Amino acid sequence: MTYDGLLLTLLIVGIVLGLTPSIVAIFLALMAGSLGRGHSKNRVSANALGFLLGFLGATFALGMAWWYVMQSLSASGAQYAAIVIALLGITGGIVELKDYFWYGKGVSHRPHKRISALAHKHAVKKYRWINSLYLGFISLASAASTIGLSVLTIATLLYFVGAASPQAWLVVYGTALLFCVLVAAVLISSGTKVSAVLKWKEDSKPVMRLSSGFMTILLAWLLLLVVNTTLAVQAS
Amino acid sequence: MGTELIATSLQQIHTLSTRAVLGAVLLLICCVLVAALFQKSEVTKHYVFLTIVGVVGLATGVLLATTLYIVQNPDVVLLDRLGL
Repeated sequence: MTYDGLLLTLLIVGIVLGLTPSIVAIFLALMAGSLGRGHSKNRVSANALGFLLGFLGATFALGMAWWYVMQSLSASGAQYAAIVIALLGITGGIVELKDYFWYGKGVSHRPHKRISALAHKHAVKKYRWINSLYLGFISLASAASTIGLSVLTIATLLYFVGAASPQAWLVVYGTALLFCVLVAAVLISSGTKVSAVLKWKEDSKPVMRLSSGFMTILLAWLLLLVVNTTLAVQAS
Repeated sequence: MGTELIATSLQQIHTLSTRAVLGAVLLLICCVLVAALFQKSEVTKHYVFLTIVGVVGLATGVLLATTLYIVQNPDVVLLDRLGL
């Protein structure tokens, strides 16, 4: 596999995993709250940008923190850490697939009540300019078991393939994760009603869970394939 | 003799891992198609989900075993890279 192939893989994984319902829901709540207060178009766009930057910053910080942890480990320690991350990813993926069939029953990826309450409070109840940044951070926390784990998996993968600039890769991956939110932001700014986007999100929830479950598992397998040297990533 | 054995074992690991993942991906695509066709039947849902768990578990087991082998025998990769 070449670096171009790896980049394409990360873009596809990021776009598919970005279809996580909780992230889209928090973003739409922020937009609905902002439009409901009668904010100008520029201010609504600034809120959307704040959300995107908050999410991107949280993704970048998490990925880089894990990258430095991997750097500090011994060779075998890093390999064992990769195995643990991959197993967590596979477990998370299976839970996500379970949610496709029976959402909310048993072990589920439903966001914690405290996170949901925080998101509601900062998106709808109390408005401050910093809230959009904070909501971007909260949205990553709400999807910690899928997207958070995927960021750790990507950082581990980058460590094993010896990527020269993990910062750039993480920014690209974070941007891919935000693709769906970006599309929603463009639709809203071009006049589409938030309720219409919300309806689309509600209708697509099961498919989103199915695709993100499979993608999480495939990403974990990719990591294991790199660690057991089956896949070698080369410059060209 | 020893070198041949190392090369063979590494080759087998790569072949086994690739086949496990490709086989699992093909089976999972079939599972998704079945799930889409019979999405309203609760019994089918259970069977499809259990099949998915089985396929994912099997492929993960193979990958885990081969990865642990590599982790515990780093000389296998080292000697292969040195061309010995």
